Amino acid sequence: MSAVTTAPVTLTKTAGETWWTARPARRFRKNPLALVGLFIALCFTIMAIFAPLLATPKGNCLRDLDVPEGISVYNPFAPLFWKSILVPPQSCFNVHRISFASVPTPPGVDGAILGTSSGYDIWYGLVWGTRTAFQLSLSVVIPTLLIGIFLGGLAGFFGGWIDNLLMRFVDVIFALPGLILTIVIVSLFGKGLDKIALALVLLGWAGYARVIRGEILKLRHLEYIEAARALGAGNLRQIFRHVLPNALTPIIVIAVLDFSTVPLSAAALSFLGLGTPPGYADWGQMVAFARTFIIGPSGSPFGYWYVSFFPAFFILLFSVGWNLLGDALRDALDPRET
Amino acid sequence: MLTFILRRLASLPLVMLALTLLIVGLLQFLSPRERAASFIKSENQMRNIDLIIKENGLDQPFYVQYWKWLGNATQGNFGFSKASSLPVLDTIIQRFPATLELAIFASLFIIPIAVWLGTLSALGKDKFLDQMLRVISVIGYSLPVFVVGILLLVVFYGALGVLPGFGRTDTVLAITDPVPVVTGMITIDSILAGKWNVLINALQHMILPVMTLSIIQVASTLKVMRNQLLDVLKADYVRTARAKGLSDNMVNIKHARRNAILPIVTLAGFTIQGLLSGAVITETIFSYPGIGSWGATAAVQLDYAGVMGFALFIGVIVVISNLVIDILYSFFDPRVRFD
Repeated sequence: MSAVTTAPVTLTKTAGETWWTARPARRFRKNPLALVGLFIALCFTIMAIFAPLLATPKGNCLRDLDVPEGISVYNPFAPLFWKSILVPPQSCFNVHRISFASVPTPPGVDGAILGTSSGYDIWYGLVWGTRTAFQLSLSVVIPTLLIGIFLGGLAGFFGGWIDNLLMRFVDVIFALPGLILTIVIVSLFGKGLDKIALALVLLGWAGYARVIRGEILKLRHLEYIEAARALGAGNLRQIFRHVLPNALTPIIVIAVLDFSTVPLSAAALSFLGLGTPPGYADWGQMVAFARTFIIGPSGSPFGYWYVSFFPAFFILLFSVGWNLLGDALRDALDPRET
Repeated sequence: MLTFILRRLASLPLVMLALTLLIVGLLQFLSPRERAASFIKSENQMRNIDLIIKENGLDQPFYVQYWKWLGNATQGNFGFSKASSLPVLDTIIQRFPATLELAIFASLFIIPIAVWLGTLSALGKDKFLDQMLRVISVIGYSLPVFVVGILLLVVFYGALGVLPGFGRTDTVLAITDPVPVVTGMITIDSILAGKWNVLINALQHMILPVMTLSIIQVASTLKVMRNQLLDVLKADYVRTARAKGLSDNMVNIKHARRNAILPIVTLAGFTIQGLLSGAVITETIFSYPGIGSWGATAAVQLDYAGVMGFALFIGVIVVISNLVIDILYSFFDPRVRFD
């Protein structure tokens, strides 16, 4: 008879094993869908970081960068290159308007690669919209993650009335569909992307808190925690050295998936008209624009396809990429899978 | 069993209390003047905002206001919605049947199609069809509702022109051939009135919104169905059934699939939530006069009475439907015991 232990499965570590050769990484590399997801996610990340190079600043944005028209941003040795990438002025997020035409112009006309909708350059809007999406993801996912871990950890580790109070609060948040509660909060705070982000943080922590609490409740009675306590580890040491590292896996997966759901919920609200003022580089608004041009000009009903197709394709690609990545991470990190 | 149902029913008022506290509590973020807006029905009242604040106790402490709100609510007075130019309760009564109709039609498609495709996918694991369905499912549940709606509109309404895009029926038809309102669901009302042309027109108008609502739900339910069935197919009793010499069909459909469908029932709660939040966007895209498009308009116009009434109503539906699903589940699955 072998001894029964409840400690986490000891992974047989072979000599010289790094994270790259460890089992989750090997499993991840073998999954073609995971690699596709990673590739798409990386492409979007690069697009967000290097937005000023892919859709070069024009008009007000150039003026706020303090450079005259006609100077390129491509020279990595010039301060302009770094300034436009690291701290672009707010005006760069306003979609470059090629003309004031009331109807869309097809791809290629007037230097608009993907065409324009009402004169707004679609390519510029999509590229800078990616940057908007990433800013939003970061400004929502990081605070929700920290708040969720903190409150979930509090509830799970100390239990008692704190646990009861927090979890009843979480229950109430989950009693309403997320989108609807977000709409309520945004309408109270007023329109705007920052308000949307605030609403998403106010509601988003609940999911993390619930998961981390569940994990901690599962872990805290295991023998290795008891052993740590017997060896004299204090509450904080137990939490940070022993419990949290083991409870983090499911949280990482949710955070990766949230990276795509956050900008998409924001885009949905923006689509409804709760987001940015017209002309701001933001995916939801570009799709809302497309709603005006569903029927093409007379004689060619499909004539304005590019106004809806390109934004839709961009959003879909982004979402599929991150979802594939998130699913693959979940599979790779799951110790029960073989 | 009975005690479980009774206990769940007893918890209902508590959940409602929490929900109303949340809704009224959120309103406290606004100043009394802003909150007074939901009591204004005509321009004359605009001049007497201070009077409205006094009359309704909007400057009183929270518990007084909550008590007052509760008193009004029990009499069916939830304020006046600017977005619909009607009292909140009337708006809900007028518009909810349209949303319910869409949701019913959508759920008629979602579960059967998802179960069917999920079975195909699981039985042919790793074959071509399975791989295809898995890719389609990832794309399906990655698509945001508003993108699906716009794409469907562009293709079927804009480019091909085969389906109507907006509203419940053609505007002309609604004026020349009005259907008397009985249930508020236009398909049923038109059958009751014997107006087949209206019925056909209404059904055509419903195709695109129903497709928009269904696609995402089918994609996610299909994935769950596939994984459930794969789990069940590994079970001992399935192997026993095969060993007894039963035909593949018999084992797959009668033994395995029946048990794999059960967890789908628990998903029904998520489906209802998905249909309700999907309704907000879908109805807005298709200018469909349900409560979803009203909620969205109310939010954009900062019509607080409308937004809060909308959220409260959705909350009540979700809470009650979760309760019903819990109870149904314990009927369906005799292994589930609640004590």
